[in-house]
Amino acid sequence: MSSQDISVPVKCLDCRCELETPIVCTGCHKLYPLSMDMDYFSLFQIPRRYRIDVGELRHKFLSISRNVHPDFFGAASDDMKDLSVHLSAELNEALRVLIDPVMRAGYLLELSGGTSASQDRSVPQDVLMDAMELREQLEESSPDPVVLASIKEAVDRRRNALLAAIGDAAEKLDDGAEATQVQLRQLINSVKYFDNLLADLPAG
Amino acid sequence: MTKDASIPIIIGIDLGTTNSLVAHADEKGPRLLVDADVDDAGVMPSVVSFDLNTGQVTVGAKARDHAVEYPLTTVYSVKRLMGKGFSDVEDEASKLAYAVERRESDVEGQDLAVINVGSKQYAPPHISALVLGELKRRAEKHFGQEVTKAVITVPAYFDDAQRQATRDAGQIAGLEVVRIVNEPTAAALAYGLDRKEAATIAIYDLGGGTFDVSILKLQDGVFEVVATHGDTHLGGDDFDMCIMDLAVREVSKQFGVEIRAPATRQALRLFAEAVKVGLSNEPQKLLQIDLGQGRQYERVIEQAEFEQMIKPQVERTLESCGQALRAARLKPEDIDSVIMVGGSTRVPYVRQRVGELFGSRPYTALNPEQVVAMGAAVQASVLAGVRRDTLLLDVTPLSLGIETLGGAMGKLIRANTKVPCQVTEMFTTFQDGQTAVKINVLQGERELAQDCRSLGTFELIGVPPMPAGLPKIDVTFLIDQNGILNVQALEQRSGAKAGIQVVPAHGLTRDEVKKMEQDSIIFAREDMIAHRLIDLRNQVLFDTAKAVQVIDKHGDQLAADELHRLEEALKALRELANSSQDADLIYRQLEKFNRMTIPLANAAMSSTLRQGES
Repeated sequence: MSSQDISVPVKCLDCRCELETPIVCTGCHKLYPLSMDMDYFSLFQIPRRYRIDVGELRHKFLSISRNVHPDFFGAASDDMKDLSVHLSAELNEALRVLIDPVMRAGYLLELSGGTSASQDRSVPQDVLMDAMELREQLEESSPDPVVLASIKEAVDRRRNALLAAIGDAAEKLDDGAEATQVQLRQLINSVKYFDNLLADLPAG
Repeated sequence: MTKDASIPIIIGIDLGTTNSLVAHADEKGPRLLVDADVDDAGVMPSVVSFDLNTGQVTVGAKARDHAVEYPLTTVYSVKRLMGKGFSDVEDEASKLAYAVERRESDVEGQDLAVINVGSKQYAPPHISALVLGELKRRAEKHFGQEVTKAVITVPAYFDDAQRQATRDAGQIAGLEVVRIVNEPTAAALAYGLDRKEAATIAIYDLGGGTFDVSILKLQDGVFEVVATHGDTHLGGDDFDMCIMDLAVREVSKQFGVEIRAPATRQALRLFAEAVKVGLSNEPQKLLQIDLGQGRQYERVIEQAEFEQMIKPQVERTLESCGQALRAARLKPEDIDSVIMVGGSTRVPYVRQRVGELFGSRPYTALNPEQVVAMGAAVQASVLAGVRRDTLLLDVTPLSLGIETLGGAMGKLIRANTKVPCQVTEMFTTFQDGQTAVKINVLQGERELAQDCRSLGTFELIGVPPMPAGLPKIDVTFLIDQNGILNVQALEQRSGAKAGIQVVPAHGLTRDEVKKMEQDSIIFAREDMIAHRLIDLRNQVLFDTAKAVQVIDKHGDQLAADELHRLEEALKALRELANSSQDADLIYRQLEKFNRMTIPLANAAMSSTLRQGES
């Protein structure tokens, strides 16, 4: 299940350069179609785990974009143009998922065989009660800036705690315990409640 | 002029609401293409004027000069109508001096906004194509060869229909639009070209009719848009409108005269614009309108008063800035530099308020009118293969979704997602044997489909007849690097590509664009006389009908024999127009008749001033 298992060319078929990413040769800009079994981590050639170097991810994203973006295929054949558009779209999606801690955890969960958000929407009872209580406070005390600030602080605190728990659970996914998968799914589902609260707090 | 024949010439075009520019970049950098024979320093007014008598079309500064004399046949600010339905622009259209009409679309319940000029109707892309054609001609004159490819900029907040309409305009003008670039992104490209240090910048772009704000990260030649927001119906035109409204109100109060005539409104529009521009450098400015009969409306407008007038509009731009910052998850102090783009950022109050929001002095060293065209030219040079060291990574400004059961907007792609981006959604049938599925594609941030903008209906056809729910059709929505939507469908069972028929809600169909492209070529070669005759006959009808109206109302003020002569001439002219094939003769007689109506017009004017129009 690690990125080494996936068969991708190691050297460019045209110019024999070492491939930094399986979708393009940075030497001669030859594009390679995405294989179905390739995950986002192997696209960037970074280790498949929760704790990643975000700086490295961004750096790799920009470096690959420089080689696959359709703006550089203006003179290429229509097939190549299409391929560059689709690879760029895939690359953008891969960055979007991996750069966000919650989406990254959800992605790892599904890769490990866990449930998706549409399959399991459950949330621990205590989190639900907690979020509902905060929402009530928010609705009752809207105009008071001091109360609003304290609500925001409470939401932030809970959200950060959830993120920490998500990180710990996601790092344990490789052990293959089903309990970890179930717990992680619930933690991920919980974040949304606090995100919605933040979105409904007045800006400022 | 190009040294390497293998490198195609691709021009960069800023197609603006008020002005349009064309630029080109080689390895030395971008420069504006200026036609030395035209006195506009390369900043060409986006105005098209039609002479119904000669059939001649004028574009640019000369056309703008016609605006007061020929308000009905001089088309300006057409960008505000691009990709819009009539119902979208009805309010606005009533303020334009030329005639905008509803045309029924092939789609039920949809309509198009078209412009009536004499006997002809023009879709907005058609007018824009005439502007683009003039810029193309300038470029061709500069290079001494045909130019067929262009990068055209659009407001970042333009939706799919507005982008499509812009691309259609290019095609009608005989230009392959190799890329649509967002205006603030183009400006950032021109700004950051020679800067090496990493920075987070905001581009505040207030043009004649549109506003955008984009937040970008610049690093090693990569121009990465993080978030964008805007308003495609907010610009310097609205500042002019504030001054116009003031004058109209006060003239009505002081003199009991309503300023309604298209020509007067046009003149007032130009005065108002001059006052606005003057107030950028002077503390006060005098607005003078000659109402005839020795009556003068004179009004000193102070800068502070003007600032109060435009405050609501400026506040709206600041709210947009706040939205963009929130979407980027940044605070004002995270922005290293705010770049001012667009002629309307010359207004000191705008600069002041933007400076206050971001807590720093906005960067105003770039020529705000030229920078977008320069950036477009730089991007054109990337696409031409001249340079490879810069990369634009842009976002889609609006969420894309589909109408779900119950009329809700089901979001598939969120605003500020990097483009290109794609999402695949599965569709099925609701009835046994159903062979077609309709999908209403939406753009916007609201929850209900009816509050979002419908891009059109995509109909999947040729679905194999099966029990309800059994067919599985994967539909891929792809927003490309131009911000334009492409849809593909695949039926899973048969593996067959499902056919898609796209019915654009507000735009032109592919066939219509093709026909216009061909027509514009045929039009150039075709015998002009037939057209001229039709237009002249319509002009005769129009002018005589108008004269009859004025005679009915004010004819009693003319001497009896004068009135009689005028009525005879009117009758003779109508008969001539109906019977004669001699366009020159009709033209001469029409001119003569119009000269004869001058005393009548004067009589009408003075009595209007005496009584005020009802």
